[in-house]
Amino acid sequence: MTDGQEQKEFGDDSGERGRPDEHGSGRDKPFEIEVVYNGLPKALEVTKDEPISSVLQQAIAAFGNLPQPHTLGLYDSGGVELTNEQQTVHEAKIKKGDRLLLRPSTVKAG
Amino acid sequence: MYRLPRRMIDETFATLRSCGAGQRECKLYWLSYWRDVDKLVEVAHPGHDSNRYGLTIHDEWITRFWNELVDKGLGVRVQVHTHPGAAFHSPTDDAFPLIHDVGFLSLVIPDFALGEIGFAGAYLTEIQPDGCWQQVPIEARLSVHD
Repeated sequence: MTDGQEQKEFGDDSGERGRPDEHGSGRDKPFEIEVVYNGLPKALEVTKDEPISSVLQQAIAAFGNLPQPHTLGLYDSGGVELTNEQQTVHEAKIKKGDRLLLRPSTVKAG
Repeated sequence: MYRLPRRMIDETFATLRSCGAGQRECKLYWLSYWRDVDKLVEVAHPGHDSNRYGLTIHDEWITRFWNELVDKGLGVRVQVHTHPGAAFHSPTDDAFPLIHDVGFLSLVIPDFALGEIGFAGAYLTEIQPDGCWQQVPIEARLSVHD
């Protein structure tokens, strides 16, 4: 299987949701995305049926023990926050190679 | 210990003064490359709304900045903002930083940065492993050089 085919089947939102992998296990094959926090990129493996809440947990864990993780959210690279944590990766239109931003939703001083 | 070039202090005070105009708070970030974390190299001035007692960073600026940091290999090490009077860390300052990571520093400059350029009366605090902020001596974290 070529990379291109892999992307079409598992990382492209035009693909069928929940399609079994070639071993017939019924599980989506993981694909890689990039999550960035404070200028550092980390690669994460996600699946199409994985909820955004799980991706957020993975992202926070990837950057170590960040204090106050509840202040952080996931955004697409255009700045749209992925607010529905029950939404799946597929439903959120996240594709192989996409960059997500792990960042605070509110930054203030007083 | 971060190495802080004097030109960044000059740039910081010039921006805090021109943006705040002695009437509004202003905020900046000090950055360094991930390949040389201790050497501060750049000042970033965020888009923000502000008044005499507080400020809010523009959401779209954070998005643009987050992408730029990755593309340039930079990271934010210190936030710097002004207060109208004495320098301290307010509950809002504690709760809503851009970076909430162990070792992140927050420097507060008194009197809208209208005093003498330098750290007289300034307040520096640092995020501890338990996530709480704790005041630290400025000279213990920042080494100024020409």
